Amino acid sequence: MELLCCEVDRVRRAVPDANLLYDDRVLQNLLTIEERYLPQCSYFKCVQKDIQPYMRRMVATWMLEVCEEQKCEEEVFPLAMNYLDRFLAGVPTPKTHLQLLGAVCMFLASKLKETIPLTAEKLCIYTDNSIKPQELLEWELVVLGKLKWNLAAVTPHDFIEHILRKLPQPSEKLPLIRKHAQTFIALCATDFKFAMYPPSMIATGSVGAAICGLQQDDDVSSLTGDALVDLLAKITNTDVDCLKACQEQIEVVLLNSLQQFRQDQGDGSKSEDELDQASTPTDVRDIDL
Amino acid sequence: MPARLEPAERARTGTEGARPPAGRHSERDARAVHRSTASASAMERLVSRRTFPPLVRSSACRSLFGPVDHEELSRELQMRLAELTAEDQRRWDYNFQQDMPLPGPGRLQWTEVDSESVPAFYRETVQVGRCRLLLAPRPRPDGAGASPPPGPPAEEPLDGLGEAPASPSSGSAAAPAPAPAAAPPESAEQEAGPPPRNQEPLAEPPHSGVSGRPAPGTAATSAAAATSAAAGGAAIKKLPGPLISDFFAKRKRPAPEAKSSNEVPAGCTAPGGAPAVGSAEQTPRKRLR
Repeated sequence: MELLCCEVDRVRRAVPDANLLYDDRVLQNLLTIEERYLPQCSYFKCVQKDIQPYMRRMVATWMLEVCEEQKCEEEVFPLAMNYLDRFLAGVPTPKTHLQLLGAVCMFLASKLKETIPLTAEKLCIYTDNSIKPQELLEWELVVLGKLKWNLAAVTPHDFIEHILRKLPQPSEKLPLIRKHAQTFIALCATDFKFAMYPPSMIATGSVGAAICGLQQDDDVSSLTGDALVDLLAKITNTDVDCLKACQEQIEVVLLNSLQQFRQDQGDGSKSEDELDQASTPTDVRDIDL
Repeated sequence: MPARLEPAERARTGTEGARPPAGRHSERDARAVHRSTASASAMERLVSRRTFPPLVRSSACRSLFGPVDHEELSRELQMRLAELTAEDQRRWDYNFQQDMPLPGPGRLQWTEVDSESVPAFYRETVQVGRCRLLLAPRPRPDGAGASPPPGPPAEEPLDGLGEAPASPSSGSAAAPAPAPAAAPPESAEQEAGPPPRNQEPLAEPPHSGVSGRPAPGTAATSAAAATSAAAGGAAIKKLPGPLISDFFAKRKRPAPEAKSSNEVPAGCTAPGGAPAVGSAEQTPRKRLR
């Protein structure tokens, strides 16, 4: 039995590396380099002629669904969105190529972060075969070139553990806080508002929003309100007001997302099965506002 | 439906190809291991990734923006690849198609060195089956030599996952394959027999890569050499011409100036014809939080 388990467990993850997580220099370096990987401009205004903000949301929602259905690592989706935004900030793209671009970005992010990456064939099936694997592979090279092969972008996930370990939360609460924060991060990646925010701010805001959300049912934190925001802002050197604004925006996006979900639920034409694959990340539904 | 998808599952690309076909096994294993909660999530992932291709029309399989015009896509691909090639050429003052430094005063000045004087790592190799052979240094050619026309990159299986890393200089990497025939066969054979791929030739001292002569200095030099190594897969096909590894770049101007000449404000207003293309990632922009 033991042997069989080992054989089966092909998805291997490194154990959390205390040298990386408990060293402040790592956090400081992440904060120093994170802005290198932000898209260089708000591309709807100055680069893209065909693509509208709602199309980014459509492709982002689709990408999140694919990542969830394929049980990708949490970072894959935000990382893929980072590639997408950086590419679109430099290269005018017709909307009919946007889904291909999304697929390429997932392909790359998955290869960078996962032990068993998504295959080109699978991604093409997810586009309803509107693109061919060969095209996906060809465009992979274009995206790589345009991103200057800088794929190891900093994502909000990189900050989560650094933030959590500095909070005075009881350790048994951390898994839930972490899970909610991850959901918020995914939610932020679907919304262009957050595309130009530094990942550290999104991470900090997401942790803040997660703790605030959980506090309502339960005594999650010994800190409340402003004290919590102050502490969070200090951890990632974020401006307190910016952080507050960011956290509020996250809560608004969550609210919209929940409303969208309830609308979908009210729509009788959808089966239970389809609802399960709705774009809203599962955990969001558990949060009671 | 699963039966229809199976061929696609088998025809994996690149990295996936090396893995054992897990499909049927994990289905069996899934029953055997159901008690082990530790590997449950891993199982879930495996099942989702491999066993029953779950893409049996899940709602995520959808085409977002209508049918894709494959011809237009292909034209766009060629255009983007040409842009990348031009960018590489500008960046390195080097014509990767013809394997010649650009004439005239540029940012970099190329100096020819004997390919014998560089570590084996930087020399051209040719891949024959699973073996990689080191090419013998060739006689100094006169003039540009006969260079094959740059082929359409689409012909190359650009999977970027296989043996040879897809090089940034896509144009040269895409040279059509009249290669091995055109190559004087003795040049490949005289230096080394068929050693296993990536193994350095027997003639080389074991630490040749490290103990080599003092490298000619600047970062640009080693980067250029690295580029040449990356482009090697293609360059070997054009034996009559000089090789990129015959040249090394010297920085003509001090680095900061060179850098500023590259800088483009905010990616939106690139000078010259190609708007914003490639400018996006040039220089990290510092932003105030």
